[in-house]
Amino acid sequence: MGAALQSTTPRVTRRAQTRLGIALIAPLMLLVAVFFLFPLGNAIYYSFVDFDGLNPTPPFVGLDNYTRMFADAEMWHALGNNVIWIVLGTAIPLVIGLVQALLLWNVRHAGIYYRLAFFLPYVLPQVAIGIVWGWIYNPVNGWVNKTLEALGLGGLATGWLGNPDTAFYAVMATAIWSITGFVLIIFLSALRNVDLEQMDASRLDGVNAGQQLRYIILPQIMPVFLMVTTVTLVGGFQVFDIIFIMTGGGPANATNVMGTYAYTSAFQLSQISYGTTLALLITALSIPCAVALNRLQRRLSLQGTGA
Amino acid sequence: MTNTTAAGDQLIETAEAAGNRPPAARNRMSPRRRTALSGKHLLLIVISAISLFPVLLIFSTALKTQADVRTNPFGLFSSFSFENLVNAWTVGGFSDYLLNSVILTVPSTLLVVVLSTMAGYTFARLPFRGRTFAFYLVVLGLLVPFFAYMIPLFFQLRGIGLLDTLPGAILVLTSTGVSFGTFFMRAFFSDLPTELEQAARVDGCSEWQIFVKIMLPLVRSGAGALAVFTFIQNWNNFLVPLLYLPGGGYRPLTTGLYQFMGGRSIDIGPLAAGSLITIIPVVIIFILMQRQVAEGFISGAVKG
Amino acid sequence: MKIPGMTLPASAAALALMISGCTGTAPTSEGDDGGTEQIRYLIEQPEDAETIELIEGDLATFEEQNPDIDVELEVMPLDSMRTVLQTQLRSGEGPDVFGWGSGPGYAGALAEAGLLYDLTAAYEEYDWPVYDFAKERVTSDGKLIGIPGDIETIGIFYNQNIFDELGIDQPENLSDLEAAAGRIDEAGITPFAISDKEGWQGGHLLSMALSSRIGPDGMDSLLAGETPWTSPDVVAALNTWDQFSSAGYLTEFPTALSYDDGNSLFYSGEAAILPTGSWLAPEIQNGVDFEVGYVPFPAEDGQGIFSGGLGSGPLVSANTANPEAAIKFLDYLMTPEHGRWTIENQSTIPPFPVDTEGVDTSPLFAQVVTDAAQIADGTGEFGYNIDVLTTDVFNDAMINGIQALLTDQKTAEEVAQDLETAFQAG
Repeated sequence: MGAALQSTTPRVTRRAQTRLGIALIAPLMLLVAVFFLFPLGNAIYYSFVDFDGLNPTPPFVGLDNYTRMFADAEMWHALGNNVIWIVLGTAIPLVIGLVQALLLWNVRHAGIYYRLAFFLPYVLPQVAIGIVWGWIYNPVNGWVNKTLEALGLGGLATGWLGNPDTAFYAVMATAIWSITGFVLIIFLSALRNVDLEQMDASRLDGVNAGQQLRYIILPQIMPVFLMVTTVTLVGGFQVFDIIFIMTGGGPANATNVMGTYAYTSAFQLSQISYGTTLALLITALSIPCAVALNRLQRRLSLQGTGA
Repeated sequence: MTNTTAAGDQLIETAEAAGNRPPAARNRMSPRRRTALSGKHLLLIVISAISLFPVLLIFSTALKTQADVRTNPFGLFSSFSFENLVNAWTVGGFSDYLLNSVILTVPSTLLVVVLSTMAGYTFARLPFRGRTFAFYLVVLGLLVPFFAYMIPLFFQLRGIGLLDTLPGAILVLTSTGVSFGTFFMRAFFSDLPTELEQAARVDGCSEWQIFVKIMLPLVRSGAGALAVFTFIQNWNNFLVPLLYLPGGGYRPLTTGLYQFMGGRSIDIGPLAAGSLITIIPVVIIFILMQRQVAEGFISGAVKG
Repeated sequence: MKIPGMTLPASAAALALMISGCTGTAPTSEGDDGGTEQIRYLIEQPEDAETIELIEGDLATFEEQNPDIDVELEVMPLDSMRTVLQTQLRSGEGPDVFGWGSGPGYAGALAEAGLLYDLTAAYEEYDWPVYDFAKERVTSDGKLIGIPGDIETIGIFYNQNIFDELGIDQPENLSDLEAAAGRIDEAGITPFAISDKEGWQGGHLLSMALSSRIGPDGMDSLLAGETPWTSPDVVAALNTWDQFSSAGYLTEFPTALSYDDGNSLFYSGEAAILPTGSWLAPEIQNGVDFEVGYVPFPAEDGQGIFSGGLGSGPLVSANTANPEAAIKFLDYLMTPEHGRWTIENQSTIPPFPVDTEGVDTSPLFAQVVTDAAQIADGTGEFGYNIDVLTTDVFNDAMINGIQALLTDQKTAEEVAQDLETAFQAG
């Protein structure tokens, strides 16, 4: 399109467009340079020196931060948690969100209220979410344990956020509660593009609901499916707020992920370079995944399969 | 991108008005189907109850009497009083936090919308040498997580005297939103027909006039969606004020709440009230402007 | 969103205005009038609002004596302070004076990060009469980096009424304590009110069991690195708690229980023994309607010894704009009159000599004062509170290790190994 435009646009216009264009993006580029590109370059620099937060000329340490990182058992533990978070935190909301979307698909009355109710958790601030779920998980008078006792399952009651076996999954359940509404809304919008003629025809042919889902609905919403996967996956690498707020990475590091580990290292233990190196690792891992999924999604979209 | 935006528009139509229904809903219902349908509604009601329960718990605990909070903090709506709200507002400092949240969120949202609109127009309609490179630099921000550079940014802000200042935090919040904003606004401008600007040019409009008088009015709805989306994102932002407003003088609701939650268990009442104060603006905006919210978030999904 | 009639110059001007307008406000809030100097004083959030009022009254007294200095009090929960204090201090916008733990893991770590103001000269100028042992704790790299915190001991509080009802005597040794816990448990009462959600409580549990087991000399040797943390005594001290935990003598989910919640189990009589520090004595005295005893955690062969330590004392930020005013404020906190004030009003014992003649205190606190006096003059035998003497890296390992121990994630041997690794690294 750029080439076509240039060939038909008079030179005077082009010059005017260039002038205006540069004027319009100048403030943005300045902001991006100062608050994004420059610190990003600095992050890479930090990872090769030993910066303590004070010394303006920190000593160069080569790959020390990296070798330390790869030998650090806690890093692997935190990274493992990220992986679990990515797998479960992506799969579970996808399944629940899809089921909800299919349930809501042909709801005529009150559909709007359901959608509001399901979506609300996603727009709430994570701090408030963390606080209220902390109460729900409270070992003494929280609703989870009270409900279990009422159901005669009092034996399963535990200190959800204080028990290293359950804390990580308890926080994840909260995150899933919050993000599922978002997945649902995306699926609902994708379902609107599903070819209904095909659905009608298939039903007349005696195709059952499961087959409809497998052969008609899923292929048509596949690009959206991948898009949502990308979002939750990248979110899984970057998860920080909800864990920091609910458990701070504890108890006994049980809920530590790369994000909380990087924060603790840099801002609680004064190991600024090491914390930065940890943060760069998340970045290095998340970008290729995001790019690959995005490519796949684009290719499917281009094939005209919907969305 | 454009497709999903359009989908966002559709999504919020009321159920009655929407045309695209799966076959089942369009046929006359048999009794069996009716039972299935009410079963489905029952299921939907249960799911929405789970969805809304924590929000109700915040309301319920915030609106209890203090005595009731002490004995039965999490029983639903067992008493009613504004004590906790008053307490959080005055003693708890939440009136200050609310003000700070507004001071942080409103300018950063405006900046995101203004800068993104200007840049989005350029990237869609004003070709020049180096434009593609600039666009890649901006879109790189969608790919690189904030984590990657949050620690150096702390020391950089300290170096230039912007750490623990409102302008510093506002600019950081703005910078975290412009990549998506530019991407989003660019899609709107790309959709506008070229005939429009050509006609305007024939009429003797300058490039500037084309942008302001012809194009801008046509992307109002997009800018609106961006504004609502950005507002909620910035209002909810936790890490930016946690890191870059550490001093406590300009603490917004999110970090104010975080700081408060580390306190005494006896303060559950004011803590609930503080949570309520924090979520109320989001809930109101969400209910009043669902269309823009959904549109923004759906398009936001593209930013992976 | 309406953006009608927007013009570039106008928007650019608006942008510039917004930025300069905001930059303009930040500095003015600091030095609004030239006459008085303002210092920000940050302390851990006290138990109740009355304590804050009390401190504010005290600050008012200081301001009367020094009309040119204005002290602004800020309080923050201890838990939040742990996560944000360093970002505050590094930002240069933190408090001028703040209360924080003495010792290498707290004040020492901050000093190493260059965040504390060097008070060596101030000590010389004002000749503050701090006890020598306490002075040592705030010495880092040969510099004096703060005022030591209040003298505190760590031991076990017990509910005398429950003990009497069940016919239990004051435990004379570790097996007595274990037998007592068994009896209490049988009676349907939780023996120990243990909370470890925040994590720092774990350090106290280890400190008291270990101090009583190996005595001050043993502790010295451990802290000097002469004995490894993997030694059998450390493992045994950890095992004591592990065994209590396995026997069901502790609160059910200690790592899910906050300090407040754990304490309230003791106040309500649901739990009979509360292992914590002397700082809680005044609150216990006010909060319960039963008799309370306070004894050291017992040793295998005897009564054991209290672990002594220093609480939070005032430190000055390296970035303070008003070091003179901050030091004047410290000097006020160091006067004998103020020392007496803290004993009477806050029930804490300052790290310098105070005449306690005629001071009116509760019996429980009077006992604490006597113990503390022995620490101060070096006559009594005391163990150590570990976390104020070790580095932040070690403390991190200790916090995590004991949480792991109480939740059966790790054995005592594994935790001991973690401690040794962290000790070598720190």
